[in-house]
Amino acid sequence: MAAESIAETPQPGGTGRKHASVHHTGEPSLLRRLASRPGSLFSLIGVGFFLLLALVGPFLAPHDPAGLVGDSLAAPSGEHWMGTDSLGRDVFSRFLHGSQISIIIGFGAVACALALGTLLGMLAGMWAGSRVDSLIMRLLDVVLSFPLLVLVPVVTGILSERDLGIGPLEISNEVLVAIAIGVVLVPVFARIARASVLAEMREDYILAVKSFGGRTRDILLRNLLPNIAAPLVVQAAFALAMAVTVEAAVSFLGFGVRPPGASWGTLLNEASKQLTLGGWWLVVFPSIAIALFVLVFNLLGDQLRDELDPRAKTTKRRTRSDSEEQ
Amino acid sequence: MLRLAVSRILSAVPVLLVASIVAFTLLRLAPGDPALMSAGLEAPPEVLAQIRADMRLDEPIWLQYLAWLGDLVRGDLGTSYTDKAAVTAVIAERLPATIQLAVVALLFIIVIGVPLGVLSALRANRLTDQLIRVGSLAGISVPNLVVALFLVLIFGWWFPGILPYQGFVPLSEDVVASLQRTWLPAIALAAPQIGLVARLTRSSMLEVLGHDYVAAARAMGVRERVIIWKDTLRNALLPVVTVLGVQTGFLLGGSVVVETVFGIPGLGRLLVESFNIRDYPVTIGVMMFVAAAFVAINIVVDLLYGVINPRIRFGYGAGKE
Repeated sequence: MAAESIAETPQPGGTGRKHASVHHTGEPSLLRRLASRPGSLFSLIGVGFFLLLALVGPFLAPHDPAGLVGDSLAAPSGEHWMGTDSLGRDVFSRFLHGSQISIIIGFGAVACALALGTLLGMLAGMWAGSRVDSLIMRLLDVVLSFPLLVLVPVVTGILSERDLGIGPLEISNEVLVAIAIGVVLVPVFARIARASVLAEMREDYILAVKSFGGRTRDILLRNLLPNIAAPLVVQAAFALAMAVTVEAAVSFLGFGVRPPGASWGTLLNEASKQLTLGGWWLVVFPSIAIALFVLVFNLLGDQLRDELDPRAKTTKRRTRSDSEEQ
Repeated sequence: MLRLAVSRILSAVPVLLVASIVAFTLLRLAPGDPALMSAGLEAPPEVLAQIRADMRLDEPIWLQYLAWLGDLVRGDLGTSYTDKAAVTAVIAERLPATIQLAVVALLFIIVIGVPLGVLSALRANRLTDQLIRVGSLAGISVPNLVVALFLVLIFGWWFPGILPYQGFVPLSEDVVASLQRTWLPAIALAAPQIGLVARLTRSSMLEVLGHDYVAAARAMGVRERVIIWKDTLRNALLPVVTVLGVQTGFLLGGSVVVETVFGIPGLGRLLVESFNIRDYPVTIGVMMFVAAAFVAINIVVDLLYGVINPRIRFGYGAGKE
């Protein structure tokens, strides 16, 4: 996880690089500091749980997730822990497979958004006021001019109709959903990266590197990136919660992961058809999983912000822009 | 102030223009043939060709776009492929349901979220505060979709007959029936935002309570109730008001899911339906209408923030950062 790479404390004596100051040399590691508070300990355990669920979940499935293994719409029992769906498939097995898909899509989407958003934001910030800057920011405005749940269903609906093949490369439907969600989340990271770069550019160490004739690429990657990482990592935690919510929504609408496959969203889609027939077990388990995932990562984001980005707590304008991004 | 307003609006126009190009191109990339959808799979080739010509689908995409843009300038969004109705009329027909839903949801957010936040701030770090804080965090974490499905489960299966959970009745037809059908979807739409507003109100209220003028008023013996209701609350609510404005925009997005669950014929449902049957003119019409509304709301909110907080107006961060 990205949070852990930040957490590494540099060796005493340090590498001598400027960004060492962010790492609070000598203090206990970030992970340990987080674990010492009940709120963040809960979120760390939750993160661990979901990572484990994504890694080993499908191997624990007692049945084939697509196989017709029981009566249709059977309530949870010893044989089928989460009951069966209208076709008689084992919901627990589908849930384990679906959790993996949902979680991977969430992480994939945020990874795309983080990488692309940070790059674009840093370029815009580095040459603030230039044409590159205004081009990038305008493009992001275009993405931002649609509400999330208006743009994503249409984009994933178009992309996910069929597997896309580029040459020998087969891109599966799930990957396309992740990319679509990632693209829509790019502005969130780009804006933060740009604002942070603007702030850092005024710092003495950047002036120093520049006066030594440091190359732009080195300034961006070696000097700026480590120093603007904290707010981006914080935002990544919130974005993960958002990405999973969005995946659930678009798959529910029928535009995301396609029906034979399972994800939390498709499970809810199937559940919605059986609600008034009393199939509560179909809706309860994926719902709990989504809510818990969102809660855990929102909590993690809050705690990371307190630890990594103390400025954010005190300034009013930050709170405003944060709630806009929600 | 006027200059700021004009410049914000002018800068929004090219953004929306590019957005429309993106939406237009995206939809034309979508697999599925609208002519086939409207004529049926058995249609002979010459009929299909005729329909394609009628729909202008045989022209190059940029010509189609320019034609669409030309119509748009005259206030015409084209005609629906399926029922040949004007897209503007289709949108106008679906708009009231979405607006009604959003207004009631916004009322829920204000009536529940703000008092909870104030209470939380006044009881800071006591049990009430902690309960409200945990509650709002939990509330933020439950997406619209989940709330909506649970409400249908509760009122459709466990306790049927208390409140209707499906469909929509226009306000003009039957006020009681209309409102009855609005409660549940509005709650589903508002739920995650209530916690957000409560949190924001709390932190804003705490900040204002920490100001010197509050301490001065206390020292002068002004009664606590007067301090809270007359002096503090008004200032504390300023940032909340602007966030509420922003959230109105987000309710537009949430309505796509909520309207689908509750079977409400609003804009969100229209987007999904029209996309499913490849009714491009309607889909683009809805996308651009919502985008324009979204951008307009954001501009109004920004300007409002400038009115409320004069520091923004004079140089400091005018517009965006």
